[in-house]
Amino acid sequence: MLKYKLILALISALLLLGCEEDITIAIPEGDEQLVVEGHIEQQAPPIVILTRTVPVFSDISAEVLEQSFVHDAEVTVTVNNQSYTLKETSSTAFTEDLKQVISMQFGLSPGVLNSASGFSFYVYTTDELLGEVGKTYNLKVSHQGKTLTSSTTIPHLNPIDSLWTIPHPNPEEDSLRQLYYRYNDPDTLGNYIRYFTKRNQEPFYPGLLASVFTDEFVNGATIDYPLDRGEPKGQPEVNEDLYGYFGKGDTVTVRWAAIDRPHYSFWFTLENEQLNNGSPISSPNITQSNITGGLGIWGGYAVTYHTIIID
Amino acid sequence: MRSFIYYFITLLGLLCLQPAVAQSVYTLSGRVLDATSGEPLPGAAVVLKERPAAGAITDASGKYSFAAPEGMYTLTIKYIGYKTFEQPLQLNQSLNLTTRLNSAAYQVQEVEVVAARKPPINETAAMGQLELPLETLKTLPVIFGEVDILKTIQLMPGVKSAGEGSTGFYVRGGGADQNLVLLDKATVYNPGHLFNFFSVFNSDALDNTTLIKGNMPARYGGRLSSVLDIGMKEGDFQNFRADGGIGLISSRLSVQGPLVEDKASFILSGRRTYVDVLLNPFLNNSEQGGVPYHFYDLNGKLSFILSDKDRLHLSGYYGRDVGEFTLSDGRFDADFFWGNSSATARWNHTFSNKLEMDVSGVLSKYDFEFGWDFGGFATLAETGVQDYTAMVDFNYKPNARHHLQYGLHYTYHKLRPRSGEAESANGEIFGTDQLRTKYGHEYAFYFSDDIHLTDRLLLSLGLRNSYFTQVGPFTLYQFNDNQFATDSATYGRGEKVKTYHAWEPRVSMKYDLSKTASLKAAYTQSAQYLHLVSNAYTTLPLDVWVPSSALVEPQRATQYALGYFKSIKDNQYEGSVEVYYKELENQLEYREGFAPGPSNRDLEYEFVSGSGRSYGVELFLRKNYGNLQGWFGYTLSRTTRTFPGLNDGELFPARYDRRHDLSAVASYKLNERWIFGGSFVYGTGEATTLPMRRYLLEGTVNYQYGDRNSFRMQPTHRLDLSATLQGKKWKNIENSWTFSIYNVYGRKNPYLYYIDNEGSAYEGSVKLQAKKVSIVPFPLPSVTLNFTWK
Repeated sequence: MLKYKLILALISALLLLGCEEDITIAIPEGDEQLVVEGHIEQQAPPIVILTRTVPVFSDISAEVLEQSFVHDAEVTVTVNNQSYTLKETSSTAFTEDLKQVISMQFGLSPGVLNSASGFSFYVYTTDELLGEVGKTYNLKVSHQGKTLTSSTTIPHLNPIDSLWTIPHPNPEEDSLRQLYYRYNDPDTLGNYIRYFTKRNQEPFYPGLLASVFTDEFVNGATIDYPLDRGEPKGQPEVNEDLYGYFGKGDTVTVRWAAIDRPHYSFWFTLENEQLNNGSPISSPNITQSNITGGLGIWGGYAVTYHTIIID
Repeated sequence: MRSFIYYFITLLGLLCLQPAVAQSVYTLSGRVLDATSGEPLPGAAVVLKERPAAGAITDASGKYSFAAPEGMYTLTIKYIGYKTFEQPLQLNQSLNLTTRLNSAAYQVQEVEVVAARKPPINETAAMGQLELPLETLKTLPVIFGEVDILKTIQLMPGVKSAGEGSTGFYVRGGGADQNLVLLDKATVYNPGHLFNFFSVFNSDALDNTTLIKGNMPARYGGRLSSVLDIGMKEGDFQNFRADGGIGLISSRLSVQGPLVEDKASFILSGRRTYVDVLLNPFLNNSEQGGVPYHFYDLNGKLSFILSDKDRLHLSGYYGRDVGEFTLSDGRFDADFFWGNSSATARWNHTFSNKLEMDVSGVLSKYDFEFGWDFGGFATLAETGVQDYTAMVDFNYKPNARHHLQYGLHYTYHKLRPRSGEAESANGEIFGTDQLRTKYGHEYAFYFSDDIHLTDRLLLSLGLRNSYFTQVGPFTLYQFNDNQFATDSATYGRGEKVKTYHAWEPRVSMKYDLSKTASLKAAYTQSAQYLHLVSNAYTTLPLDVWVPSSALVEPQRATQYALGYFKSIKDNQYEGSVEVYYKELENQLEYREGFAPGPSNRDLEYEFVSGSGRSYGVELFLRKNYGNLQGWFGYTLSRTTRTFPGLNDGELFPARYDRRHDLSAVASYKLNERWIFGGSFVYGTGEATTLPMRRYLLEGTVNYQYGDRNSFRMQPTHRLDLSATLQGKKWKNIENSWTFSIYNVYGRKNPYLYYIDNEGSAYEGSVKLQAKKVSIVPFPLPSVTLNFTWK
């Protein structure tokens, strides 16, 4: 269903004799805001990446990226009235366990986190707290007079029933397979999912066009539906012929995470905004953060893993 | 309802009142017809030469009526393309005349070429009202050579285009949904083809067109900003004829003639684009397999003269945009259509030369359907509007000092939300089962009286009393913080859910400063019960109309206007200055953070409401006669919105806020064969929202935006030129060629700005670049062959 907007955009692009050109425009710098990229999932410590926004056309370089990390902030997570302080840690000091968790949760290849990759990466975390399903975690960030607050829940696990594949619609493309999943939705409305896929040794990538689902239309039902292969964002061009497909012989792992509604809304609106950037039939600035006083996301994940070897 | 009947009785009482002052002023009324065909000539100018202050313009059925003091006059009737009629007249009693005009085509050439279709600008009480002469429009340059009434009205002061090439328009700071577009009394809910690039109005099928952007007479209601009243052409009562045109992207053909001579006539017009037909043979082997899109229009009208006093018109419109789309590997297969259809039956009865009645029944429909197959699911999304309307309108001129109009309008609305249903391969059905069609009764009673208080002062008093009642079936949900429905109230079929009522006073006055200059002032209140909110840069066929309901209150507007009108050199030139101030209430926008997508909740829950304000000054100068004709319009205005739920409650410019807006239009008749036309437009850049800062999340660039609509794009300007060549007549066929160039100097007008980003932050390959999207950024030539056979 999510595709019809995209299709209409394509049609309008086809039919209107539009053209694009690069322009130079002066844009005011605006006021800096703090950005949270925070995760908490069951059996894993909370991880918060805290950055600041930079002027839109400011230089892009490893230094700028490094400078955008916010240091010395006071970051606490509260659960069941007990507060845990998250400590700032540089990637040079990451333990192997932490590297593993970050690379899995943030879709990074572990290589990026090596000090040899050229830039340092900072997170706030603690080893005193591990996420549990069904619990609500309140986040508070204080830095130089700014206070950011948020709250997220790790919902109960909501796994996939099964995975299988079907051949490509074109018989000549016999090396490509479309992944399908069967999902039994619980009776109560309000189940949301974010998914990632991992192909062989690649990191987990979220679904490219849409990584989140709602049960608004399928509440309580069992559905069989295609699951597109996740891909890294920000590719110059997506290969349309390969988009969504897996190959014969691939070992595919699906990271299937139940999330709460504000968490779902964040990704739904962010992906909608990214996908429609520059489309004449959409409006900008729709990303709905769950952070009060800042930008970004503090998101709880209830994760299950499902693996299929395509033969 | 009781109070409704009470008002009607009060009005009937009013009608019986005689004016307290009686002088020897008489009414001159009549009809103007084509001498050969017997067709009425709407828009002919009827004046008394010795008293240019008296005069009228003929209405859709060729009728006119006006008052003048006793005296000896010369009656002059002018109509474009016809020989001017002159006749001495002694006015010592009220008169009713029928005048037949001869076409100018067969007479020896005259020096004066084109007559005004309208009385002098300073003569009518109406403000912000423009008659659009279709014949003149045909010589103006247009994109792809498609004459388009909606494009031309955008050249008028106070009217702003919704974007390059768009038929959408905004009037005096009002939204696109605030324009009432009528085709033979039927509301056209989406007047655009191809994402509003072309209007649904085939110029061959149209007759007189009036745009009212200011003080709407009380007989119009239901929209806040403007009325575009378009009439379909009546067929020729005496001769058969065919008109047509062959253009670059479409062709059109109209045939008309008598069914029974002088008693009944028909006209049938069609238009279809054929890019698909022309190109498909060449594209068959390509991946795309052809241009999977076309649109067409059909207009038809039957007219019957039942007696001297009775006329019956049956007219209809049917238009569709049709297309399909398949992803190359066959995973996704879609087809879609949208379009309007309407049918109008109108009976006109003349009781006497003082009282006339129109009874109409109208059906109006708009449908949008998009169906696709993906992943074993067959899905259908649709939205639409259906109206059933009955109207009775009276036109009563009890004496020379009063002109009353009163009537009843009733419409039953059915509005289907954007609903969808998907069927899985094993037959299971999923859908927007909580979305239901909404139903409403809209009814209005109105009356107005144009009162000639003195020779110099004309006062027009009008009142519209409108109601809207939402009726069931309907379920009103309450939502908790997680946006789940926790409670609901259900209303049965026909059960009243919510009623709104509005008094809509419409008052205007005109004071003659001299024989050629007048001052006009107007005060208008209006209410609107149907709403359309678009989240895009232009309105789209899948935008959803919603009614006022328990969830959405009616929109309201109050407008004040003041103007000075001057006619120069026997109306050779006319000019006006108008200032207006408008306040809008209950304006709708999508809430912050609304991302369009399928939803099982009524769209109304995604709206926030606020207020708007617009004010400005409009200058207009037009040359009506001679080989060189044209106009110049300039608007200086400001339009803002204030929404508690948007932009932190701070005032922001509306997207169509435009400080300066200028248009210059000219046509020059070189000789009998060549007419040249040109238009130039300039407008302040559109307000838009742009990112000021950026941040990374999951390795991709995201934006922190500046204030809503706080950024201005480049100004837009464009020059279009055309030349029309009258071809040599061949047997019974007249023909002409229209050559035009759209965007002569290839201005790349901005349609939207955005900041493109690509690359991965973690690989250090991110690139950011501001982009400007333009539509038709190059000179676009076109040629159209028009022909007439009779």
